[in-house]
Amino acid sequence: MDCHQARQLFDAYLDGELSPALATELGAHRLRCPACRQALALLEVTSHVIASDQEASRLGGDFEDRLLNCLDMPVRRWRQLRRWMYVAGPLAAAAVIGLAFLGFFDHRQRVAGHKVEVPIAPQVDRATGGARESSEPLLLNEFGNAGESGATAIDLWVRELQRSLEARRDGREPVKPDADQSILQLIDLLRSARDDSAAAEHFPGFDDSPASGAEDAGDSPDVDIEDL
Amino acid sequence: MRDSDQISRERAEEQRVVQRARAGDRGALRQLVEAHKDRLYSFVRRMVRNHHDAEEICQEAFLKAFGALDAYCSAYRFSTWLFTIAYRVCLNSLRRRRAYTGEVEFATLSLPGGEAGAAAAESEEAARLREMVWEAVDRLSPPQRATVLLFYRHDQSCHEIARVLQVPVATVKSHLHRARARLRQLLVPVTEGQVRAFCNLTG
Repeated sequence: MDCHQARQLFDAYLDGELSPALATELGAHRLRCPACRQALALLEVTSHVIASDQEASRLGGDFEDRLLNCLDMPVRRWRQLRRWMYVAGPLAAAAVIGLAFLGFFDHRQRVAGHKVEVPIAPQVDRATGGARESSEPLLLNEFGNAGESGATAIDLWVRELQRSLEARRDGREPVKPDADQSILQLIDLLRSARDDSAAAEHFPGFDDSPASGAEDAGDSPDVDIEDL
Repeated sequence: MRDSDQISRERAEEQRVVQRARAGDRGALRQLVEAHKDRLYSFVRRMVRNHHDAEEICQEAFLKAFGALDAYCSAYRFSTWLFTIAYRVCLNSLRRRRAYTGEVEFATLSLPGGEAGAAAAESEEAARLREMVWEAVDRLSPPQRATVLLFYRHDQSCHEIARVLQVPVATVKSHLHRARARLRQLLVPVTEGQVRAFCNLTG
């Protein structure tokens, strides 16, 4: 038996599936071949290390209590909440994307909390594609601070959502894994919207393509496991 | 080694507990959590390499399992079913983490605190070897890592692992074969001395 043949048998040997005759052959080869001896020893040692994993459970003593408390939440209410999160998240993100494309955030500013009239910046006319002149003032204060763009407003939203997740992880709020998943999905969609919004700011013609938003909204990175 | 009678008795007892849990017996639910939480955490923690994520995944896996106890098939051990759910939640978590943080999936990570304590009780060479082995395991793909952990750490057969991973048995054997080849490739720098030192310590 040469080294190549011996190594073909390593898996069967380690799984205990080798016939006695072949095991003897492999043993004989192992005795006279330092390379195979070391390769096999390495795999055996690896299996010992994994089998004797000393990673102690760090689940808190109250894990069972917290888990059973979660079960106390009425199933119907829990399912309704989960369904609402799955629907509301993408809908909210789609709304943000739509508003960002319409330039809603870009045209609103707030100064010191008071409603102010500011001149509108020259912009692309969606109908003609040419520059639009407008002298009509806009009453702007619904979203964000002065000079705040759609991207910044989305960042603030994302930060709020992340703060909520951290609060749960720190134990300040009850853990709701399904709700957390939905929030993470929402964060992802918001980030896509933020990127689109930022691109729209730098490339005035960017938001003329309605398809780009739809693609991003539907391109969720997470494939959720099916309901059991 | 446990004999088949003992295994049968344990399985029968487990089925009784599951039946009580199905009927809403909180004591039975607690019993199932206590019986499986440590092994489940150990598996999930090695899969996602993060305590907080592991804790959340364990909680989610139990909640999903308890919420669908009627779908549990008693032909398999409860732990196999629980691990199946946990594995799929792990995969979702890993996918999501990669999507949100851009983390390189198989990045080299520092060792968790657990190894530091263990290292104090063994030689420096053996501790280093243990460290290298876990670093190599972290570099395996999630299915390969799960296969290796379930096979070596949790003593599951290829059939049971196939059930957990929801793949054919042949695929499990392929994962195991590729995982070993990858581990061997990653651990080549390990010196013979380190291997020998570890063998001496573990007997």
